Amino acid sequence: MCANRYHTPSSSDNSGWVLVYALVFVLVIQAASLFALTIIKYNVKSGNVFHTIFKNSHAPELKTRPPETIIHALDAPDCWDHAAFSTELLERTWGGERSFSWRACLKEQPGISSADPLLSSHKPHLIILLDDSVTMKCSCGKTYDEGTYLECQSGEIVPVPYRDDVQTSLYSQTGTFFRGDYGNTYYAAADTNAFGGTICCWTYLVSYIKTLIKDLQMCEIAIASTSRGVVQPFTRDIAALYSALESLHPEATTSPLAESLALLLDDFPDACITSRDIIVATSGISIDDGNLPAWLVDFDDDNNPQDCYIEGTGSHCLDDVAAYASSIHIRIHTAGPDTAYLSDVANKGGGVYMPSKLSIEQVPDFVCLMRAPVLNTKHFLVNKGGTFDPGWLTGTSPTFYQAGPYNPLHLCLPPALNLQGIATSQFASDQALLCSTSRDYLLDIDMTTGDLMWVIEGIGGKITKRGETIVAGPNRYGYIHGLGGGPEILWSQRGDLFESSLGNAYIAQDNIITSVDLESGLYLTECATASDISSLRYDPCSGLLLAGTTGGMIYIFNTDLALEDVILTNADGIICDMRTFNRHKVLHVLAFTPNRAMCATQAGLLWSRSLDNGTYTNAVVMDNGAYISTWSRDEGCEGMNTGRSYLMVADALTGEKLAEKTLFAGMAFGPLIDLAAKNIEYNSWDMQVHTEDISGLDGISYSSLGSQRTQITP
Amino acid sequence: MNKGLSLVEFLVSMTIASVLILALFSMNLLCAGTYTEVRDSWYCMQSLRNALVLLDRDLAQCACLMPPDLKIALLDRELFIAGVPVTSSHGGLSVPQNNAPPLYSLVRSTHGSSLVFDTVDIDADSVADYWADLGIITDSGPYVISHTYSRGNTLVPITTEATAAVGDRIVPAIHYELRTDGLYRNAQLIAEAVNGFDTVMEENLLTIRLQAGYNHVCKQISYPIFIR
Repeated sequence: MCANRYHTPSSSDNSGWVLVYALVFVLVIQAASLFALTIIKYNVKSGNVFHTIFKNSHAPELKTRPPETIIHALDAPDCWDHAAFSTELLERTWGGERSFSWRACLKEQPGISSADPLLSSHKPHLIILLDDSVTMKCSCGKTYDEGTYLECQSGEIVPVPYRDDVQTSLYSQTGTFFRGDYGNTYYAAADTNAFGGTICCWTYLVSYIKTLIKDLQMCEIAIASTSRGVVQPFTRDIAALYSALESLHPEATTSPLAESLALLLDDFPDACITSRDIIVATSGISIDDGNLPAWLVDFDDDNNPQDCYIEGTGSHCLDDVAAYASSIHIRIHTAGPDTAYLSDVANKGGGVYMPSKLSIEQVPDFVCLMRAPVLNTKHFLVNKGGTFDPGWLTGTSPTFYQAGPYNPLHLCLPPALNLQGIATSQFASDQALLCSTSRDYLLDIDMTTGDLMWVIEGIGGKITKRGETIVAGPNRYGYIHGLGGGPEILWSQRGDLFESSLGNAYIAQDNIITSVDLESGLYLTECATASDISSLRYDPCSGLLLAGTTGGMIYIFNTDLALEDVILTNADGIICDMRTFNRHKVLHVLAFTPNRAMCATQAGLLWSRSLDNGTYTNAVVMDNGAYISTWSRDEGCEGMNTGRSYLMVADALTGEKLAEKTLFAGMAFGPLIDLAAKNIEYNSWDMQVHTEDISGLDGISYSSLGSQRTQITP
Repeated sequence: MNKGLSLVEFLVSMTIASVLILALFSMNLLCAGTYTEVRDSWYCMQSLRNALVLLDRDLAQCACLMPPDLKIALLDRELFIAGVPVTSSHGGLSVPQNNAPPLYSLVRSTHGSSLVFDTVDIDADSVADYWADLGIITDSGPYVISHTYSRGNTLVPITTEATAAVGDRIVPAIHYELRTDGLYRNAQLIAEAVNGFDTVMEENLLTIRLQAGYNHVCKQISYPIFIR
């Protein structure tokens, strides 16, 4: 039987079909593979993005090359003292990323000036007894030196400050100025007593006494004359002493030397005195002298027949009084013609003839300022023998100038000058140190070499430097000077206090503040307060001027001296200092009376607290902390070596005391801020140093301020 | 020779063909399902990626030149990152001429739901640093600037009641907010698929948990960041 079969083409045995099946299979495999690969690719790509984010985010970039660095100098950081600090903003750029960090940077040390440094252990007292009789008009055996002298209208010849426009002599309304060599020829005094010489006793001794007064830094001095007794009680005010001297004239017809001296022996105070000296400045000729107690007239037992009262000239009792003075520990020195009599008087009085500074006062080495920080080194401004002589000055042949007493803007070059006075103010800038002394000498020292570059006599007080302009003052005559670097005097203004901005100087006198152009001294404007101004502070961040008054008020002025605000502190004392800082953009004023600290904003007083340990000496605000140094001085004898000094750290916003430390026996000078070493230091008068660590303050080291991305990396 | 296909052969071949077709269909279904899942997953991951890239960029520049204690603020489903976003009209904060950083504004006064700033130009470059829909962080908490704010005005309306105190510091901030339709950055949708946004701050460690979902796919990611 035959089965029915469909006759259809069959390709099962056809190799073409096998190929087709194979191709289809391969295609399917390829599609599946591509599909899988696509999934893998996308997953890898996506995963890589996440991986990049997770791995690299917020970690420091791979900084394989040094960044481009820009340093910005900005205003003081929040809660840091405006006058003392600025902000250093460091901008570093690596390709597409730049980061910022900041730290506090020192703008100016919060230094203080020592107005009247005293040591309780060295308080010599000196009485200068000046013979003001007509005998002083005779020649004293000396000649005029190369200085300048003035023949007054009255005929009296007095020494005056040097003036370089006097070649030989110069007539003026006040008299005739003449040079010493000219005077030796044309102004020779009568040689009445055969002492020789040309200069009269009066001129010579007044010149000598003025020089000596200027030399004596720590000495309390009184002026007396043979005819008027004490004309100036004990003081250290050189202007008062000079004024007293200038009030005397050699016109008395009597010269009771011994009697005058005897009367002065009881004029020394009993307390706070370390030595008693009297200088008898005389021609040595007594007139109507010797009226003394019988036990005193021949105290030295020399049986001199002239040891008695003699009408007219001739009494010889001066040496007896000197001998008695010596027996009660008062040294008697003499100044005048070089005679055996005056030398003998000095010898019997336990003193010397023509005493120098060292004969009167011998002061130990001391400082009355904080160390001077220049070129990463700190230098003590040491006073040796009562005169600034730090020992590290290498060049000691500076150019000496004299700020003209005749023309206030003229600097003249006197023939010879000696540096005098104690270093009382300093300003360190770049590589130079400016320093002023208590006798109004302004010094410029190149600290790279230690060279004393120039010295100007007549300019003293507090020193600041703004740009190239130096402002210093007030000097002892109450003048504030603006100087160019030449040096040259740009302007001179009378004032008690000053502050300066980059363009203006603000000068306060009594209750008036005057604004002048810093470079020219040109008057700009002025304003007044209700009571006398006791402190000034220019705030460089806000451009405001703050004036603290003796009435305890703080006036706030803008740069044009328009009144912005008045802060009532309710303080019962004078505002002696102010420091400013910002907290959340609000200006805070930390004000001090001698016994209180206060903090105020323009909205009002925030806090007020008494200073527990003594009186205020200095303060600075750092990272919200007020570092206040105080000094508890002994009530008895004054002196910076007495009492004890303290450092109190208070929260500047609340007044809460955070810490307190004892610094030294005696006053502390400072703080000297050393941000590189991360500390502040204080020093004492005898050069002890106390260091306070501030490394923990925010802003001492660089702190990050975040970063910006200028290119998108993922 | 008889050539043809017997019934048995036909049935066998049909069976084999059916099996093959079924296999191919299953494969197709599998591929289609996988494709859909991958596509949805990819969509979620893209959303997460977009969100994370922006978050990462903003956090990397967090509080640059601004107070370090006003870096981050958290609210429920909201995150504020201190900073000025770079836009076509603002190149970001610049270093000021005089004022030392950190830079910020202060609240001068409050008026209902508006704050009066002392300045709206914190870097003093004459370009206002606040604008509408931007976030702000104050000492009292974070806020969002109202859409009605006119740029440059120191009277700044905010979207909620202002509880900031006079004297509070203010910094501009980038505002992230999870809404029903995705994650928004300064009122602009940046990730549609994101439906979970959780932030936790423990000391200096900020952890951001993001969740994206689409259809039945759900992806989560946790992003821990140490805020210096």
